[in-house]
Amino acid sequence: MSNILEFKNLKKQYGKFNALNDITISLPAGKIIGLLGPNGSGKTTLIKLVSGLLIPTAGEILIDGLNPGTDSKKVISYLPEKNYLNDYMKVSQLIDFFVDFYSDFDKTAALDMLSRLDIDPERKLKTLSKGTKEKVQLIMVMSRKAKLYLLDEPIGGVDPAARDYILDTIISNYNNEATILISTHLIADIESVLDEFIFLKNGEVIMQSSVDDVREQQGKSVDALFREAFKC
Amino acid sequence: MLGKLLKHEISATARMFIPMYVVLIITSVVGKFFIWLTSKEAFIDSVPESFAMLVSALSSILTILYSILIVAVLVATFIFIVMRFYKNLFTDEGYLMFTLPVKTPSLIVSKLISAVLWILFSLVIVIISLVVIFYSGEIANMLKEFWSSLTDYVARENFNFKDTYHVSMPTFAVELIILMLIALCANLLMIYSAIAMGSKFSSKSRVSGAVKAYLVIYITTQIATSILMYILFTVVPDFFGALSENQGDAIQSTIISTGSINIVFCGIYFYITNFFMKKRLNLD
Repeated sequence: MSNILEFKNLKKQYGKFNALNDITISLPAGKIIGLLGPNGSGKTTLIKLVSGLLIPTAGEILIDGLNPGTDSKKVISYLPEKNYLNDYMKVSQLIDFFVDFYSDFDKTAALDMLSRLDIDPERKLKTLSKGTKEKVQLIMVMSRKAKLYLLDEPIGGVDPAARDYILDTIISNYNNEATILISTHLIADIESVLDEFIFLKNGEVIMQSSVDDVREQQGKSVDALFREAFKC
Repeated sequence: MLGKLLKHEISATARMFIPMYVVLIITSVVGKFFIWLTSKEAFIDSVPESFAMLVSALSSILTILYSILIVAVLVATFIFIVMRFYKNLFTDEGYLMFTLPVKTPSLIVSKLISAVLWILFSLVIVIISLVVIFYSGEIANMLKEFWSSLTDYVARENFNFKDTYHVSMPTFAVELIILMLIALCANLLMIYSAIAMGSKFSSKSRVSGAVKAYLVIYITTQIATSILMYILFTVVPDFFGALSENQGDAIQSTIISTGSINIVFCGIYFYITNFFMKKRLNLD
C-alpha cells in the first residue's frame, strides 16, 4: 500500500527550542491514525508543517508524493484547533466560499449534515455558540472529498454528546482511500475509531503501531499504554 | 484563483466600506437640506426667532461634523485596508486563508487590488458628497466656465505644450495619474511588508513588531531613495542638467525615474511580503 504521508529527518525549531526532532516515519493511505501525546509534545506543530502553515527547519515532508504547496493543499482538508471563521458570514456564505476554492467540496453533504444538527444555514456565524461554530467548521472540513484529513483536537471543546456525533461524522464521511490524522490527548474517546496511532513525546516519535497489535500482543488499550508511557 | 480571491475580498470588505459611504452621502443630503432651509428668508421669518436660531445652530454643528466626516471617511478607508490585511492573514482567519490551494502572491495581489479600488472609490464618494453639498446654479456656471476655458486652453496651447514637453496635455495627465497609482501601490505594499515581517521584530505582539518594521523599512527606503537620487545627479550629471536647457526632457525624465524607482520599490516590498508569508509564517 502506498504512503500518504512521509517524514524524512523532519526537524522544526522555534528559536533554540526543538519542537520536532528528527522525525522519520511513513503513514499508509486509507487509515485513521491517532497522533497522540501530552500537551507541548509537537502534535500541532507536526500538523501545521503538513498543512503548509509552517516551514520545516530541516528534513522533508511528502504528501501523496508532493512537497507542501498549492498542490498538496488541494488534497488536504485541515481542521485547526483555532476558530478561523469570519464571524460576519452566514453559514451558507461560508459554504459558497468552500465551493469556490475546493473543487472536491460536496455542498449537498454539507447541507445534509447541517440539517441533521439543526443548524440553519441562513444564520450568521456570530450568533452561533462556540461549540456550534466548532461543529460548522468540522462539517466544512468533512464535506470535502480529500485524500488526507488533518484534524487537530476535533473534540476538545465540545460536550460528550457532540463528541459522539463528531466521531460519527468523521467515520461516516470517510472513504476507504482517504487517511485521517487526528491529534488529541482524549484517547479513550477516540480509541474505538483508530486503526493506528503514533505517540509523540518532546518532539520525538516514541511509538508507532496499529491499535489491534497493542490489544492482541500487550492485552492493553491504547489509553492504558499512553498512561504508562507518559506517566509523570 | 486570483479572480475568486478578489471576489471574496471585495464582498468581505464592502461590509465595512459601504455603510460608511452611505452615511457620508446621507449626511451630505441632510446638510444640503439645512443649507437650503437656512437660506430661505421666508422660512426664517415664518418661525419663532428661537427656533430659527436652533436651526442655524444645528446647521453650523452639522457643517463641522461634515468636515470631520470627510476626513474620517478617508482615514477610516485607509485604516480598514491595513486592518483587513492584518486580521484576515495574520490572526486566526489566516488558518483558513493560508491553507487554501492558492499561491501566496495571489493572496497579496487580491488584497492590493481591492485596496486600490476602495481608495479610488472613497475619493469618488467624497467628490460626490462635496458636489451634493456645494452644488448650486452659480457654482455649476463657474465649473462650466472653468471647464470651457480649460478645454480652450488645452486646444490652444496643446501644440506649444507638446513642443515643450514632448507629450500632449492629456498624455501628461495620464502619466501623472499612473505615477500616483504606482506610488499608492508602493505605499500599500510597504505597509503589507511591515505587517508580514511583524513577528520578526517583536515576539510578543505582531502589531508592535509591524510598527517597528514599518519604521525600519521607511527609513531604509528614504536612505535608498536619497542614494539613488545622489547617484543620478552625480554619476549621470546630464540627467537633471537638462533642466535649464530643456524643461520637457527634465520633467519627462523625472516622471520616468520617479515611476521606475517606485516600481522597483513595489517589487522589493512585494518580495519581502511574499517571503515572510511563505517561508516565515508563524501564526499564533
